[in-house]
Amino acid sequence: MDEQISMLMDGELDAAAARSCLDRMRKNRNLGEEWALFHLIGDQLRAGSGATVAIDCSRRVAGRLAAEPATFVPRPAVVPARIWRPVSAAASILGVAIVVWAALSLEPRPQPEFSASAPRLPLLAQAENVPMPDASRDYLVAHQGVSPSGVLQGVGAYVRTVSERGAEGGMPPR
Amino acid sequence: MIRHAVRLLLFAPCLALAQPSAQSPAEPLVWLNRMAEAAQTLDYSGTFVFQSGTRSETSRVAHAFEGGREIERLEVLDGTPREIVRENDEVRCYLPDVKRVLVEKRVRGRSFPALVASGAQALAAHYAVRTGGVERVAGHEAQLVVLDAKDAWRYSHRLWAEVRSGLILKAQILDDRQRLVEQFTFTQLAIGGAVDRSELQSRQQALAGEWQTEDLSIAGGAEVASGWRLRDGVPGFAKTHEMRRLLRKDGVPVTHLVFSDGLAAVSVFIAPPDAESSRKPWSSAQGAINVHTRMLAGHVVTVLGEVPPATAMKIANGIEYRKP
Repeated sequence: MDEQISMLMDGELDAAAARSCLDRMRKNRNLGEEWALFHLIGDQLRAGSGATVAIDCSRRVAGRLAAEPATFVPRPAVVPARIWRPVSAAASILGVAIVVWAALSLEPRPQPEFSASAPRLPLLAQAENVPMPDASRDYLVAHQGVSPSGVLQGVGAYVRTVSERGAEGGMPPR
Repeated sequence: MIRHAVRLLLFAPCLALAQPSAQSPAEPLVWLNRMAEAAQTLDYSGTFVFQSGTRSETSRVAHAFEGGREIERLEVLDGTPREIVRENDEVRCYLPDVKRVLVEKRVRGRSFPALVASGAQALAAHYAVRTGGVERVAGHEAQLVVLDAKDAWRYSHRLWAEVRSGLILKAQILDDRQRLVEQFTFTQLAIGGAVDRSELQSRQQALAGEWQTEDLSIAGGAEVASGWRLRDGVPGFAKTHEMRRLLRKDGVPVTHLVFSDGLAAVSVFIAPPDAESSRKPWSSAQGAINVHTRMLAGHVVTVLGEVPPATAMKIANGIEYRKP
């Protein structure tokens, strides 16, 4: 049994490890079958003794693998290293963000009926959650200019872009 | 122009219904059109509270339309006195805490062709749009307009418009479990009458001479065929822009794609990593804004929009490059 596949199933791999595991499965058919077997074992355990489960998710996995994005991209522009110095100095000075994860629940209302099923999270969902990095503020301002929300609310929609971020800085994970 | 596009989008199907009845499906769309109109043409000043996740901030806003010029100023009253001043389409954000001024020009001269063509039907395809009751907000009578998301790829919106002018007095964004994600609500508001000139004048401009000014406007950028595209998208989100913009201090251009369902928008920024970029994928949330990044063969793909986390993630994972 492949421990990496087991960890992938349990969501214990980080994105890079998950990707390499999927790459191996793509190259090795046996590993794909092992993945199906793991699911079968898991389902059997959950179903309890006496129950039988028939599962073949190989097609689904193959579909997901086929749906993996192609990676033909232009070579990144090379920027001279000296440019980074003032940038990184500026970055260290910038104040930044606080995570706002807890969803506020002020006026609970009855559940609406949805016509479509809720979206399932993609397989590679193990991105690290971080406070909003200060660098994304520029992107947020650039986004606000093209979002229809500004049309309805005027400059009020921009209040997000100046929303105060906490004293402890938010930087992207290294 | 976005504004004109949205006005068209909202208004066109309503032209035939000059007198919307209470049951007319066009009625909420007429209200949306009035909101867009009011936000641009009314003179008003007031105080509002913006709640995002667990945070809450009070701001003062004033808006005037004089001599064909639209001027608007917003000052955050809590914490450092951050300020946003808009003249027509140029928006300047003053950030005294980091001594920066961000300048942005709202996109004009570019429309939402995909959405205008399909009109309000596009909006109605993904939101159940209806009017609710008349409620009091900040001492004014307000008409509730509900846009319930028909799936969990987008947030639901509730908008309260002042009954006579259409100005938005309160706006809520709710997730698929009807939990409040973000709220904007006036606590005091004066509509019409002369707006005090001093309310419209920047307080920070005089202090900002030495600050770092970042011009994030589209000037210098251009609509391009970048080769980056969304292979596997999210229902209802159509591409509205594809630009190359100068958003970085080092001058490396950033590809900016925009996808919208007519109400919410998602931006995709693609650029090679800089010194501050992380190679690891990360997600972040601030109220209704969700950000998700990933590396795609030497480029950082940053997806940002007023959409649920799963939507940002799906769009990030659906991006690919095909040589144009």
